[in-house]
Amino acid sequence: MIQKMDCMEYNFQPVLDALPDNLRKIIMSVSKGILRELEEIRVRQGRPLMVYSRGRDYFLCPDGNVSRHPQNSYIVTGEDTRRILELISHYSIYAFEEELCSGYITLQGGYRVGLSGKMTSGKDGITKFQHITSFNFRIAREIRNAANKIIPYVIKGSRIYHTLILSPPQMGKTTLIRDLARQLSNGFPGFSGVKVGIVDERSEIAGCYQGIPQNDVGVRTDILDGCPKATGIIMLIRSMSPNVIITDEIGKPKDVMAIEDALNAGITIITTAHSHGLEDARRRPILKSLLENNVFQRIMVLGNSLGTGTLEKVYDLIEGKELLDRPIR
Amino acid sequence: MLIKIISSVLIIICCSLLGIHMSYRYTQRINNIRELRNVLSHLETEIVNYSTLLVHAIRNSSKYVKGDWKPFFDNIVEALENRMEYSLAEVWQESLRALEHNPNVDKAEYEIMQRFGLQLGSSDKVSQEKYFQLIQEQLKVEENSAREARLKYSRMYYNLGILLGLGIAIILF
Repeated sequence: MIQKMDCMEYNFQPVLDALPDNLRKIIMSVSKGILRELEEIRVRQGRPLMVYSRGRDYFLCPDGNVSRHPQNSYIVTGEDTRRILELISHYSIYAFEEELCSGYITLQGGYRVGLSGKMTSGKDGITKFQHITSFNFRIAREIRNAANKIIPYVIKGSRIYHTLILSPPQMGKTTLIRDLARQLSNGFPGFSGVKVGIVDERSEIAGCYQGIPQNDVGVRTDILDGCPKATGIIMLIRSMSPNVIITDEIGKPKDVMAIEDALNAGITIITTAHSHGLEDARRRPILKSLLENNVFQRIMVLGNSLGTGTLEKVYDLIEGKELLDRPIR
Repeated sequence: MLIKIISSVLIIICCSLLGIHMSYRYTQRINNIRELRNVLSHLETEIVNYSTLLVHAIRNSSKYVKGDWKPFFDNIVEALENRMEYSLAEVWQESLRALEHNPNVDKAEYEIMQRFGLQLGSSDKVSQEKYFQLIQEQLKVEENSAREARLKYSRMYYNLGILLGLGIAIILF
């Protein structure tokens, strides 16, 4: 009970529930400062137990002390990984076949567990896990109002611009569009909420658990969880009549076609892509066609000049000008 | 004299009951195997067709089970729902242990279920389906052998009980 109260403070109980008793005790003995900003728990069979927090990784000793060196650290056993698999699948691996094939399982609360290990490909071309030996527990944190800095550039009056957010990995673009979805959906002073559709291919935006969003993505939001972007966009247009469709990480030619369909249906698209800037994006064939056709009215670039998630640049592609004098965070 | 008659009648009744009890075990074993096959068939449907989580699947399937296997399934559901610190295999073996000396459960079924507990829930649907087919076949063999045993021994124990009672009564006279 005491353990439960303690971890309530850090708010990642579902992650602890998915760990076997011995690993949970080690994690709970880690210093509070590290736990408060915990981002990842890395469990690799036959190798040291590690956590990632405050921008660096730490090796964990059996007594919960952290170290920068692997000596004396707790070495994860085969029994540990077997138990984790049993716990994250609720003793029912057969019920998580599809998730396992996609390389991750979403826990209650929207926490994602990445998986890796030995894979085999079957006759029908589907790759399956034979042994799962590495787990990455990601402790995503919802940051409310993270989108405040971009809202003035996305919305003008009641109009919402087609927006593309360019960002290198780990710069908080998913956090940003999650909060953007919430604010567009709920509305805020001066803006009444609109219907939002999210195509959440990798369950990162809404963090759905059995179809129910575990992150606050707004009251007028419908989510297609685990659905390929191109198919999902078309499905939403046909059936859910959204005003805005939000997706993450476009990158396939099919995605571009679906986005064009959405534009023709008069639906606003807000999406993201991996890129270091506008010039970088123009060199990528898929993004190039979208940029040349002026599909998006606003391009935002995230970076870390002032820390993770800095809004570096905002372009107005229609007018062909930059809207931001200096980076903001 | 009267006491002798009464005690002889009592002895005959007791020995007959003992014989009936011994012969009833054979019938009860068959009933148990049949119930077990029924539950496992339900469980297979829940797992293979509906991908129901194991705890819910066991709870749904064992709802209507009767006989000596009921507490076994109830124990597993209770243990897994309370999220104990044990693996499924441990919970399974622990619950099974209560049936180890049950006269109505033969060692053969016990061992079949022991092996099955190590495979349940731990693989994809195709493999689970195969495990279920295998256990059904094994239990069918046991059911047939239990029927043969009943034919052979059930009547024998029944008659033996009565004869034993009569024998003791005659000796006492």
